[in-house]
Amino acid sequence: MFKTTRLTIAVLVGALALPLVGSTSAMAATTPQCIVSLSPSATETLYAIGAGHQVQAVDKDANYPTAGLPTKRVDALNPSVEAIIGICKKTASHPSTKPDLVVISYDANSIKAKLAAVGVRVVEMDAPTTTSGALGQIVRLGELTGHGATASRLARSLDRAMKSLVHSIPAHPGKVLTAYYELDPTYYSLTSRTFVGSLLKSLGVVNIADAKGTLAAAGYPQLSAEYVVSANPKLIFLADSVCCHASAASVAKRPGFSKVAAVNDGGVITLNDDVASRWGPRLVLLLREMTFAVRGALHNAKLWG
Amino acid sequence: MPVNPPTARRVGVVAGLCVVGLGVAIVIGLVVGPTSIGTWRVVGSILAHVGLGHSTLTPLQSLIVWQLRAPRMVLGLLAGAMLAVAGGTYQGVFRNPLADPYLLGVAAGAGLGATFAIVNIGGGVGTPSWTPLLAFVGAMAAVIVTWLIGGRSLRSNAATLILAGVAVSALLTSAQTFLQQQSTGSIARVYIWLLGSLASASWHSVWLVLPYVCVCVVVCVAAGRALDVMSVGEEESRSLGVPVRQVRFVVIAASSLGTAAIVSAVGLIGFVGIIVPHIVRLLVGTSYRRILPISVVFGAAFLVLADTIARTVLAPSELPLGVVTALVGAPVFVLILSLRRPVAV
Repeated sequence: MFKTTRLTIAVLVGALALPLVGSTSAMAATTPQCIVSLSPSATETLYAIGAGHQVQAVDKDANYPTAGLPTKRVDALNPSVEAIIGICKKTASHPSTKPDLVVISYDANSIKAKLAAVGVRVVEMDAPTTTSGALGQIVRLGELTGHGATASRLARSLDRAMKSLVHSIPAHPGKVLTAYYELDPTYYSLTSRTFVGSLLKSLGVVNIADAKGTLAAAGYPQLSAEYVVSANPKLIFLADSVCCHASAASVAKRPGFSKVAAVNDGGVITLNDDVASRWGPRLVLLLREMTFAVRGALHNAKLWG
Repeated sequence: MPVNPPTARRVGVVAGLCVVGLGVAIVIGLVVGPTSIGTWRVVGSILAHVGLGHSTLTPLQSLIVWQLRAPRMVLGLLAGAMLAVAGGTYQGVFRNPLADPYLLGVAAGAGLGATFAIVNIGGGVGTPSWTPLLAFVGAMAAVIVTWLIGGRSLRSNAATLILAGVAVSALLTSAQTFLQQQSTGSIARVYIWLLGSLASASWHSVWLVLPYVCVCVVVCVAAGRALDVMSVGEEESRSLGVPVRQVRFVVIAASSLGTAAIVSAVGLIGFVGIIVPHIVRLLVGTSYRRILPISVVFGAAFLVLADTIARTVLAPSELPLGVVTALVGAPVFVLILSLRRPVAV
């Protein structure tokens, strides 16, 4: 009697536990153990959400976090399928050299279709156009790599921090804070239709590149020096300080810029090129730099005297 | 049906129109821009600079006209004049209608030098940087290598030199592409340089290229008579007493040096060097004594007007100058070609 009962209970417990075992196995099977990231932004996010140990190769431009990146590098603009499917280290739990997940931001050489044809999962994460798009990519990377909870927490934390920064800008009726955002010393800029441009706009800044006639559809017009000088921006953001050594001093030496308000009143802000061009967890650092500059300009009596 | 050579009167009219056109281009280059400044106020300021009357421009307007528009216009004059005359001399010395100032590797060498500077050292076209210097060094090195391969031997002829130029250009272009691929973050800046632009012109850049351009233009124009003789063929020219190798060396050296100086300052501006001499040839005939000096004036006016279009048609955005030179130059060239034929070099 007891034997039959014990057997029945064991079968029932076994039957109840079976889905849990199956679920655990499925999770183990879908959690990627070898990730190749061909997007510097995605690489930063993967390390921030705790998936860094799963990343076995990154693209040539990846440089953050500054320590711990894998030594294996892939050319994201000219990727080789053969190189990518042989890039992972074989282990007992991962007996193949093929990556479980490849993250790209640009489908160079139709790499997405080619890798899919050999059974490699590829996720394309193009440059977002909104903050929610950027945060959504962080959450998605968490879901794809088995770090969903951490990624969600990070996204919420970034969202709160960014909203807090935006709200820290005091109302400034009557003060038109104009800004020029420089991508290159030949005066390539961005409009408010771009992601970074939308961040500036959220801070109440009037972007001089938004003028009628700029190539708004492309979002990245090349302005003329004459226009920048005549627009007399109160703030100049230099997103070319690393690549091209742009600085407040070098801008002041440019023909005509000695008369620009931003140059005369301490309104030239140098940004880290990488931070300013990636949409990962360091996004908040970019917004913080911009916010400090805007607040400083609004309180700068010389600009409004 | 034989084509009658243009009369001296016709040549004089064309030359006069080119000079007038250059004057108009200079005024337009100073008057037109994204900032609206009254035409007569700018003209008044120009006259004030030569001691007639006084300027009514505000300090900001004066700065825009004389620190931003004027150096850009002058650099455009120098670039247009140099590229056009260099294209003309190359077409003459190689007796090849497709020759342009970049034929012997100047563009490829400058491109490699500039790419190396942008990728490894940083700096853009407009910043004090290594880019112009390395572009200049690369351009001159490419031409020297081409000459050593294809022009040094006594048996070498124009075709050998052209083929050497093609080989050197191909090699340097592939090296430049490789270098560019190694630094994907720099690709945009490399392409901006390759497209050419006067956006970063300053008086400093004008003074840097001015001596090279002045000397090289004079040498090229002075070679017109020798190029006329050489148009009958190398053997025939030698029998007429023209030192073909020496003339070729001097003309190539002057054209390449001037082109290298311009390219280092403004990047690669296409089409001017090939299209302007052909347009002038169609208007004044095949004599290089006429083609070269008129090309200097025509090329200068053409590039200043093209740059004015580049910086105003989508103002305050800019168009790449190379795009404008091709968009404007090609239809004009086709029109003239359809009106006068055949083409002789």
